[in-house]
Amino acid sequence: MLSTFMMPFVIKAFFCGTIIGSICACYGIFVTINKMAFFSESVSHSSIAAAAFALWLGIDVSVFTIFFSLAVASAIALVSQSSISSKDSVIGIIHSTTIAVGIIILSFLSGGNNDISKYLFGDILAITNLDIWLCTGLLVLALIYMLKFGRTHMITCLTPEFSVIEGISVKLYDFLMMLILAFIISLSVKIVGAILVTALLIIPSNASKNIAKSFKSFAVMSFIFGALSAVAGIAFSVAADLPAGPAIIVVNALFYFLTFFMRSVFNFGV
Amino acid sequence: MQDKTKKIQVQNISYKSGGVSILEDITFDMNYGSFASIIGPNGAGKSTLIKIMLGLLKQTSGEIFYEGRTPSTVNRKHHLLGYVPQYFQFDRTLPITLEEFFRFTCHISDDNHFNDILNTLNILKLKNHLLGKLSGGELQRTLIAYNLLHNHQIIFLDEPTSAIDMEGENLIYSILKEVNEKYNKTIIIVSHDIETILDNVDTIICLNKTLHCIGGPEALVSNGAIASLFEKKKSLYVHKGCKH
Repeated sequence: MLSTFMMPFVIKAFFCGTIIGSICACYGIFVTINKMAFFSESVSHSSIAAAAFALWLGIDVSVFTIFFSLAVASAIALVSQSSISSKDSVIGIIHSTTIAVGIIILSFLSGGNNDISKYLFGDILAITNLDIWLCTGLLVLALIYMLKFGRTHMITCLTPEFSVIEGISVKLYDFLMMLILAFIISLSVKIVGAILVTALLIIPSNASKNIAKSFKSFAVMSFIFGALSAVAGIAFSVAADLPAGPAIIVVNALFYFLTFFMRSVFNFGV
Repeated sequence: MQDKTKKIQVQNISYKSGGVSILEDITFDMNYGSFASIIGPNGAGKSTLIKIMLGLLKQTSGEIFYEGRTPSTVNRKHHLLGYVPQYFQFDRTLPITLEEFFRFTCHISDDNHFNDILNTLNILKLKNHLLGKLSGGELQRTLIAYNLLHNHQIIFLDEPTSAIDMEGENLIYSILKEVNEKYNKTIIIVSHDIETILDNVDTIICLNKTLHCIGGPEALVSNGAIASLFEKKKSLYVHKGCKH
């Protein structure tokens, strides 16, 4: 069994899975505070269209998905900021449009293309060296952004009206968060799949929120739940020969329902 | 210390929204260090005026100057203007303590000064409480403390006591008076509560789309200006058959 855990593809899976799980948990705090779950869902589902496009054009899916996700996030930000439609409606329109285009492109692909299922349900054990580099790049970017702009960004989340008076561009920070989330989501798709990626962002922070008594404990527990779920989920999937993405999400969900139980029955965090 | 010879200048401010005129040609000056209130009937444009004065809304015409600087330029460098909204909208389920909220959103370099401000606002003992669990009055005091920690010189409050009981209202006004005198801040309150306002402020701006009157409370009461501002509204109700 131990030799299985030492195999290169498993080590790669642990490396990328832990990075993605931790980053998603940390940035999931912003998703929870800003109520961006639907945005995340929309960008992650658009990666199905990105994969279809890339397969049709015969180019690298991982890299193309990053650019496609950034374009979708930009479109949502720009249209919602200049349209009379609500942000929810704009996200819904772009969400369904990208999926519709993806399905049309899929119909052009000859025969039933199995590759697309990797992007729907994830395939962490098929991680390439390029994915390792992309994850490392994401980690560096996420850390730099958090250190340089994290506090100001949190101020715009907590006190948006005061930020406008102070001359801080809330719209710019919203846009930057959308771009960085799009980057995170586009890489997470490879691990848990387009259908489940939003769970990586919202479950750890909401599990933590159930029992946190301060923002510090909220952030620390969110990070721990995200990282632990990734490690435990991958270990469980390797040991029991199960799909890794869903295993990570199930462990995350266990944390959520455990903390929910602790709050409801034992008044933790109340 | 604020220089009381400095003035806030509101010059010919008009504001239209969707073709409807909300404010028409409002002009007045006010000294820094004042404790002022903007009063008027519902729909008089009181909240709109302070949002224009804060730079949150752009006026259709006219200009506002704080020592020669407009609201949109004044705050980036000078952090002059503060605001306490009628309803502070935030996620009440977010686990963040009062102290964390302040340390996140304000630059606190001196803990003694920080504690002194919380003590003045009567929220020092709530430091470790969750923000979402505060009452309406405690939240209003938290926001006033936020503005003091940012060292805002002019603090606008929009109906600060609308969601709190009489006891809480008296506490807010006594605190605002202390903030005005101890920290020498200019306080501008939008309010409906004429009796409380008359007892506390030194300047009253009466608004009803246009500027009805401006002056000290005693002068405006004795010359009947305040009564006539609300008399117009009263006659409107009577005319429509409502005698309340």
